[in-house]
Amino acid sequence: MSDTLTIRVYNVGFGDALLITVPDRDPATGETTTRRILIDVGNAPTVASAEGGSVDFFPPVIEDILAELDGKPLDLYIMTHEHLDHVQGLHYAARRIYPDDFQDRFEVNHVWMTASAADDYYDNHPEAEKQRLAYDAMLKRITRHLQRKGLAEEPGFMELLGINNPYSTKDGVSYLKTLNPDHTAYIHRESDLEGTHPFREAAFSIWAPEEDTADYFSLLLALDLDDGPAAATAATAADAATGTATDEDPYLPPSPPPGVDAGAFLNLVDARNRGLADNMLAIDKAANDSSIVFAMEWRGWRFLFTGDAEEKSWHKMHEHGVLQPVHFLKVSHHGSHNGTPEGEAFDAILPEEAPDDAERYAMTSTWEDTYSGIPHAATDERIASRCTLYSNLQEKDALYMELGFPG
Amino acid sequence: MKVTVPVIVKDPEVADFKGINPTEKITIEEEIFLDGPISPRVAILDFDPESGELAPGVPFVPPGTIKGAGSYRLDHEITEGDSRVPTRAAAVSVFGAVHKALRMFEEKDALGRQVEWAFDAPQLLVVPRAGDRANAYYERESHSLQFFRFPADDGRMIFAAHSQDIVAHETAHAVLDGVAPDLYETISPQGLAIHEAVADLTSLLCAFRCRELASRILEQMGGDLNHSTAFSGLARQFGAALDRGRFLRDLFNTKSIHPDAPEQDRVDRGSPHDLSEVLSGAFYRVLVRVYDELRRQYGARREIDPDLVAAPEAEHVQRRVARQTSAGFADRLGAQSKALFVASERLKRTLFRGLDYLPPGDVTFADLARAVLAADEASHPQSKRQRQWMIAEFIKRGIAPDGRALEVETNFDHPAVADLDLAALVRSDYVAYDFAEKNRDLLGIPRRIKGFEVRPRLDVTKRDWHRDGPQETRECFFKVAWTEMEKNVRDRGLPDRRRWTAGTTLVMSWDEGPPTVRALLTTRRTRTDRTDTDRLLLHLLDKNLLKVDGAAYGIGGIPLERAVAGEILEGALRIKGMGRTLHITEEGGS
Repeated sequence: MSDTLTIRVYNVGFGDALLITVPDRDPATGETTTRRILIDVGNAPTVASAEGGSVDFFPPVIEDILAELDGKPLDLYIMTHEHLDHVQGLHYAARRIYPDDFQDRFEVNHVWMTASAADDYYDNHPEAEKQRLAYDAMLKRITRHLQRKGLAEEPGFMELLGINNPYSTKDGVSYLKTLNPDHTAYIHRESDLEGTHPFREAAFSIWAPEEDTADYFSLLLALDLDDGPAAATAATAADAATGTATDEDPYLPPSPPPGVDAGAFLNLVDARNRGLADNMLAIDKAANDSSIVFAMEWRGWRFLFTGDAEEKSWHKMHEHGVLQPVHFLKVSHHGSHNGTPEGEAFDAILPEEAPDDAERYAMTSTWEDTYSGIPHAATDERIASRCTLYSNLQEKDALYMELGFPG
Repeated sequence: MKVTVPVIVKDPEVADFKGINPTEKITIEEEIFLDGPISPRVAILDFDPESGELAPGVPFVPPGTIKGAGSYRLDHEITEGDSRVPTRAAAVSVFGAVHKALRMFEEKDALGRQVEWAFDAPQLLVVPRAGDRANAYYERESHSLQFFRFPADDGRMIFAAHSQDIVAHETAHAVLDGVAPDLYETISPQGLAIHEAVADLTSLLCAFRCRELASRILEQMGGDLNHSTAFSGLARQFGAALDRGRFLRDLFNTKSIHPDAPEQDRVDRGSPHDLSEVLSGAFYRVLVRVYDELRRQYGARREIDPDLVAAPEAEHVQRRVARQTSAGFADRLGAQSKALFVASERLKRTLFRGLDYLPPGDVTFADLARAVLAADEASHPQSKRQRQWMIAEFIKRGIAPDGRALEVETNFDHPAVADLDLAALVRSDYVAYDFAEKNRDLLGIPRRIKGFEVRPRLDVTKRDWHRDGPQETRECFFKVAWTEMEKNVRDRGLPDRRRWTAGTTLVMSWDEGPPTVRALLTTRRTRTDRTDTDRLLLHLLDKNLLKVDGAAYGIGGIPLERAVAGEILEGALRIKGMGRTLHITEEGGS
């Protein structure tokens, strides 16, 4: 039996899929068992093309995961957060790759899902619910506005709408809840992990998310989306679910009054909706910040898995003093400038001076020409100044990249 | 063509100052007026905040005679005790308030010309009901003034556009951006603070032109301006509803950037809003000194000291007050009201003329102080008392270390300009660049600088006030700017160098005879100024507002609303549209 822990980061386009193989020694018996953790599996299209979100990535990845499991159940599956690029892969496998018997082939002993994915989460967190409802309403308004303007399929808009559409993500999340409902834990920083995983030697600590995700919501900017309350009400949940606006309700650009230059007027109308981009990002970030961020310690190594945590989540982690130096960093949010913390928080996880002699590594699962500057060269440089950074873009045709850590 | 419009002077619901009409009549002269109200330079676009639809423009009623004034048809006039201001009346009021502030800048003894906007279009677009936020702002990119609304604690809806103070403040930002566009791009916190301070002082000066209300408040205060009165506080209704102390910013203050200032007076040198109080406080204090002295002289029925104000200027103010007020009001004015109106007009021309003298680039309070003093000395060398008081105040507040740092030579001959063909200089970029290249030393352009930018020249005739009467003076403004590099703050991935802009303003007399130099001013950036910029950038980073390159854009390449965009050019940081920080860093402040 190998004495090496491996981290395999699959190339799924724009998304995440990580398989961690851990030689886990039982201190009581001295017996070592190979245990595996699978994180996420999903992807979504990018600005440049639909390629980054192609389902064609999934079959070889799923096949490789099943081959690694070799008929044994997966020890722990972790859904970091409810975004399409993290949740749709296994659902796709169950529907399209092995429609008859995926759950037979892929058994899971334990499941962790981010706390806010629990069915009763918002019943118990009224402030978060208030915020989420406001965000959902804003997303509906924006979706409807972009549909009416014929922009919903345009690069940039499509990706973010797709990733954040609760209806498109819902199926994936619902499927993950069926993996092992009796052993599914909804995880937050204060969670008691006892009984939620089978590991004996590897130790886990949850750094994020906060139990109450209300902190991750930012103030939304008021928008003038030519819909008004009446029209917004008319935009039913069904509209948003099907992603269609009615044909009888096309977008008519407002006209300037006589005496006002049409170009200047339309520029103003656009400017009045410029908060749309801010709001879309805020909606995206709130979900990203709900990512499970956890550290795993094993034989002197500390590994950090970050999901898509962004600034607010890092700020909270720093505030709570949970950040510690790590030997391995799964670069958050596909290498975006928001995904890796700045300043003291960054120094806390990757201090300039390594605390021991062990090598340090980071891995990014990303895709080119994504929205909002992903990957981000300056962020890559920053990380690479502290450790060895690998990205799946270095070998785009490879099925995965893998690092081994000797025990 | 003329139109007369009612402009809100005070909150009609507030019972204070009974008997004073809540509106004043403002007469505007423009080439044409259209439904809206719309003029060639200002258009009111009243989007309904509920539906987003553009409300129909308020109909224009043309004048009955060629010389008469038209009006806008209101279904309901604003009267005392009204619980709501009708939206049409509000639209007309904001139109009048914008024009009122605009006119104050453009008067013959101030800028003396029609202001060009900083954007490449003739019309400022004004949105009186922009949405639900506790804010109001000018935005160059959308050519607009945006006034928002928000609910007060008592449930009343507060409309920023109903406050003449706020409208004047935002209009001042737009005007100042046209006069000194570099201030919108500056990385100097004091440069941004100049924007704020000038806007606050403009609000104050507009309030002083609500003559009857001003007189009444003055009476109530017993003529003493050394208090935090409704005059020196801004946006009373706005500030009170926001529960941020009595007013948004109080001009009656002792705020300072002097290193030895008491702790409670010292401001954060990286915060433009805090810094602005130092500058506006300094000017307000000088205004009060001039007022106190004039009041004493009027009270003693003495002739006005020409060291302070030339008599024809004071008489001109009196005549203007008579024109603007109801019959007999001007004749009944007491010493204190006369003193107030004259002192405020004196401050208006001093401050606004100084803006023209400001060098382009990343300027500081000291640059503005020199510009104001030089403009005043060049045009009104005899009335020097106010200048002495300004110098004392600037030194006291740490704006300059001593009087020498504020000295600028004015009205002198120079061989480089004596033979200049000013008409050609104004008309031809070629002549202008040739002049700058040949006179680098005069203009302070370092030899190591390869490229510089000569700004459009100005040919302006202004009115000066002298003992024997008004006098027209023609001036030519020549401005040149260039890029300098300095060390950047090393934090969060920012490059280690950044760009800043230096510049010179050369003002030349263009009267009969060979041109002479009225004043020559070049930016002076110190190590402290660089540290202040570091502090500003760190503030923006802490608030996650400074976004570099692609990070400044959201989906679809739309620039983020809540961001100041930086770009890295040849390894150096350049910030674009820093002026936006004035309205995005805090809700409720603008």
